[in-house]
Amino acid sequence: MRKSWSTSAFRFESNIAARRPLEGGSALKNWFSSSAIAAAALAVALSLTSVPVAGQWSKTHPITAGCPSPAAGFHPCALGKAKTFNPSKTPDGQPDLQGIWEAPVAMGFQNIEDFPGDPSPGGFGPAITSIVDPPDGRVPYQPWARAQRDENVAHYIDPYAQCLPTSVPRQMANFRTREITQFSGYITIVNEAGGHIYRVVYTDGRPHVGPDIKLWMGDGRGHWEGNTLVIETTNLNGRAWFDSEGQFYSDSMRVVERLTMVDVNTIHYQATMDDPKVYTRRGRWFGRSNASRKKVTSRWRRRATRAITTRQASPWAGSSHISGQDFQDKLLPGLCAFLVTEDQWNLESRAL
Amino acid sequence: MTNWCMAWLAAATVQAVLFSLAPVPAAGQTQTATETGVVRRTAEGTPDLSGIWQVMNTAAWDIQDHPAQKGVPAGQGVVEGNELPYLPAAAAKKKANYDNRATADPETKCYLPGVPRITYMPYPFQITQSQKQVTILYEYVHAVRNIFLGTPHIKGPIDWWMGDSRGRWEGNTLVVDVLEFNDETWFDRAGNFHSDALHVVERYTPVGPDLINYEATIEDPKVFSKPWKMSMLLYRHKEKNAQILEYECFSF
Repeated sequence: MRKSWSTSAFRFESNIAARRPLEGGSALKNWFSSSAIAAAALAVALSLTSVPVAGQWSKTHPITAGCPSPAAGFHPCALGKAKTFNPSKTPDGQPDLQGIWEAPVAMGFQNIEDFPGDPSPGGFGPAITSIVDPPDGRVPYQPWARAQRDENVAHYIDPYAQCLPTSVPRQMANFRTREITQFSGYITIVNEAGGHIYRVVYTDGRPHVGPDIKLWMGDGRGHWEGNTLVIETTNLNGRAWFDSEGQFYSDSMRVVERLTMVDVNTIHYQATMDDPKVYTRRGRWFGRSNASRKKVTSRWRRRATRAITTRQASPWAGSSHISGQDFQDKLLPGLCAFLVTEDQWNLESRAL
Repeated sequence: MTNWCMAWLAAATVQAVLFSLAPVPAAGQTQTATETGVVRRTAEGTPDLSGIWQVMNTAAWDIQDHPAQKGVPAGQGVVEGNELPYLPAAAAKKKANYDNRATADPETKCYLPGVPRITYMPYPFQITQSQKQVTILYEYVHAVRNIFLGTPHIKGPIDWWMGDSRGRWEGNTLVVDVLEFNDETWFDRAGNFHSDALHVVERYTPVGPDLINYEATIEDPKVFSKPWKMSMLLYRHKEKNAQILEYECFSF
């Protein structure tokens, strides 16, 4: 990647996305559990309470590609396997990532950090952190930002629950499927759920759009490093969250995603986040600034020197405070509609 | 405006250059299909519709002939014969829709706009194509249509904002049959509307490397006394940096 960037703030492993099997009971089970989740998501929308989602889900997928599902175990294991796996190629020679994929564990959906679960009725189940770096599995927020995150949970509704786009990287951790298709010069990633979202990632070497253009899904540019698809995304509007628990970023974030085939049905997915407004960063950057150095308590705390002094009115916390009735009147109709892919439909028909 | 002018110029140039080459007969040709020329093809030999496209008309405001109003450019309609064969009760509803359009138009609520309306919204869209399906990614509210090729419609009734699209190739024309709509979308900002009995047949016929003739036949026995047709041209965005951005209507 470009060396001028500051080093990554943290890495997020949404878990992998496994190609959806087209036959057998497990596929149908997935379909039905997804349906239940969709229904549950609707229930959130209507009642503004939470959903039991990924807690149960994760238990049904303890092992993926021979690796343990929790990110800390999966990450080194899968990358090790990827070294010896030679993926098939598209006619123009790209490693073939095409297909319909789901995030079978999807633990990052409710919270990308360790999460004990919400005991209240309909609350989210527990989650194991998706963060592999820093090793404590916590987002390396600047102090003000950790407070903002708590504020998000206390007073704001997940933008996703308002059917706003999932943004990046949550697009890849979202439940239901996403279809990756590779073309000459670009790659498309189209999701079923999540405010009918898609990304067109250009791989033709064109520059990013101008910095004043802010997008929910960002502006993605891809290239190949060996068998790994690297997508660098900028121009994010910073209004989406990572999860349902208020973990956030700003419009200064850059995301670098890496997608590597581990076996024929598994992609190792990794995203590295870099957001100088919200996270702490490497000393080098601040060594050149006038910020005072603070005592180093960990690799990630070293740069905890820059805080935004003027707190804005939560531009990162979803679109606005919104009442349940407004939500039903204004936002719900037509916005959460699901796309159904052909394969998905085949599953559904068979189930019926 | 500059981009539009360039697109016009490019289209005109292409037309001039290719005029003498073997013309491709456009199936279902109408008065709008004036360009002849080489059609781009995929490796498999089917016409290649992939790219970023947009109309250059005022159908988003009114699909029929209309004079200018404040904020509304005048425009010649896209409906064949201009008149819509409304049933009497539907004609009254259309008038009421028009009178209340500032608030009644589903677009003002940021709903998905339905088909064919999304085609002529003032936003570009990107077509991607494989042997199995044609996908249209619209800039407007990230709408997506998966047009599956050679498979039957799902068994309804299901009410979908964008319907269920099934496509097939007829010569150079991609024919898309769309069913299973709900009754909550309009055809334009002027109150032209349909019911959940809507059946749309779209025909995408490339009439040059950068121009598609688009037709939509509308059938809705609850609202219209007979089928009717609209047609228009889709222009390829040829700017070097052309790409789909986003218009997330309900986020503003």
